[in-house]
Amino acid sequence: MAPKIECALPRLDPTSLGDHLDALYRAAWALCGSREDAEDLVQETFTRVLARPRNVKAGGDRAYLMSALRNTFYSRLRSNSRRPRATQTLDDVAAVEPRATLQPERAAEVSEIFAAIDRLPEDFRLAIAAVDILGLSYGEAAEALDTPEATITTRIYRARQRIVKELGDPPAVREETGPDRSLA
Amino acid sequence: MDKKMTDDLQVPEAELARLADGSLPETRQTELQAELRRSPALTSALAEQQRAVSLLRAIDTPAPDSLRQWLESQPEERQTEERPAKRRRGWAMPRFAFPAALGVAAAAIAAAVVIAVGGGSSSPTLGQAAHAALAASTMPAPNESGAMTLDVSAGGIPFPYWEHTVGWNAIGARSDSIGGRRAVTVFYEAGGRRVGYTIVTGPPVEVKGGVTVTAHGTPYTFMRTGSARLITWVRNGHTCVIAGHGVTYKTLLGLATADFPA
Repeated sequence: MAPKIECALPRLDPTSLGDHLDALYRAAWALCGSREDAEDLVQETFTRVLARPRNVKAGGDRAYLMSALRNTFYSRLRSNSRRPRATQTLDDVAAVEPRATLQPERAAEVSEIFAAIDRLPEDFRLAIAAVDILGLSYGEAAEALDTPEATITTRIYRARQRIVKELGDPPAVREETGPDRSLA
Repeated sequence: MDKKMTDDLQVPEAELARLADGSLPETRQTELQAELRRSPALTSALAEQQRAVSLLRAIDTPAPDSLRQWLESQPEERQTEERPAKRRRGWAMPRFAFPAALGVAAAAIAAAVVIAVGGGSSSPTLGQAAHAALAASTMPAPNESGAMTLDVSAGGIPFPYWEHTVGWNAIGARSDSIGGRRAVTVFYEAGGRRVGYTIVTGPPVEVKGGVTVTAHGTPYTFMRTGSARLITWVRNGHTCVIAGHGVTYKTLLGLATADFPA
């Protein structure tokens, strides 16, 4: 009788989740379109991941987390569609917890970029979140999203194209000519 | 050949995307550079891709502190313990692990076992109400008394039964006296997160600060207390507070308005 061969896949290190938190939060924001939903989505994803030990396939921890994020995102979509909607838009509440930033213009620019991503089709958002936001390679993204690599690259190309069109031309750089320059 | 080509350009989109972010193999990069020199349209398409790459990959917004605090607060054993995988319906905790305790819970709350939170008989404060909402449960979860409510109430307001509407399960309760008023709290859990819903009976508790939004004609005030967030509003003249750690304001408002008639 042949001996049983166990294939030992590496385990996801739960104590390293904090290293991926910022990137995963940004990917979640790209998927959900709002910071509050992104926070909920990441928390739920980590809750699921931490529920038991996880074997990590090719692509490493970050690709595994992207896959978990996507699955949780879909679960939330399904359960939200079954539940009565009791919450209205909460744009005002976001002001309760302003993100401390030294560059408010940069924060506004980032918001515009996420708004442009939010207007993409879901498949495009997933591809952009995986590759350009989370930093996965095309191969890792293909594994995480269970989609052929060629499809991922095409979606990335088109998503980037749409984002740039949404954002319009880059702001022109003005020359500062001296102390009498106008603020208008 | 079924590769998608860029408009009017005989270069696959995938290659331009990869060239823009530097992941195209070097040999192919050289070939493509030659084509780029011959085609302004291709050059323009590449510039577009490069602009998107530089914008997207420069985003460095950090996760909120509350999320990091929540992650750091996860118990070590939860992160490392080997557990048998169990299939559970959704993320719900088993609602009633000890059915026999249910009657006890209702009776205990009805009897208003008084646990002093804060001191004296001066007017209750929002801080005391939040303290109750964030405190430990002292009684088992109340039972559901209908499709929308639990069999415990305060000031004539029944606590909501949220399992079917928003997926939060009652997991415990407590009853306190704050500033000489009865304050009843029911604790709920979903997806590893926990909130306490406290109703302080009597005239509305004074609210200072925070940000107020109006939903369904009711003003709701949001604020922080330490690392927790809370939402407070007045219902039928009594003060309601929902508070929790690692819970967003949107979630809190969703819960506060979950039992509001549509």
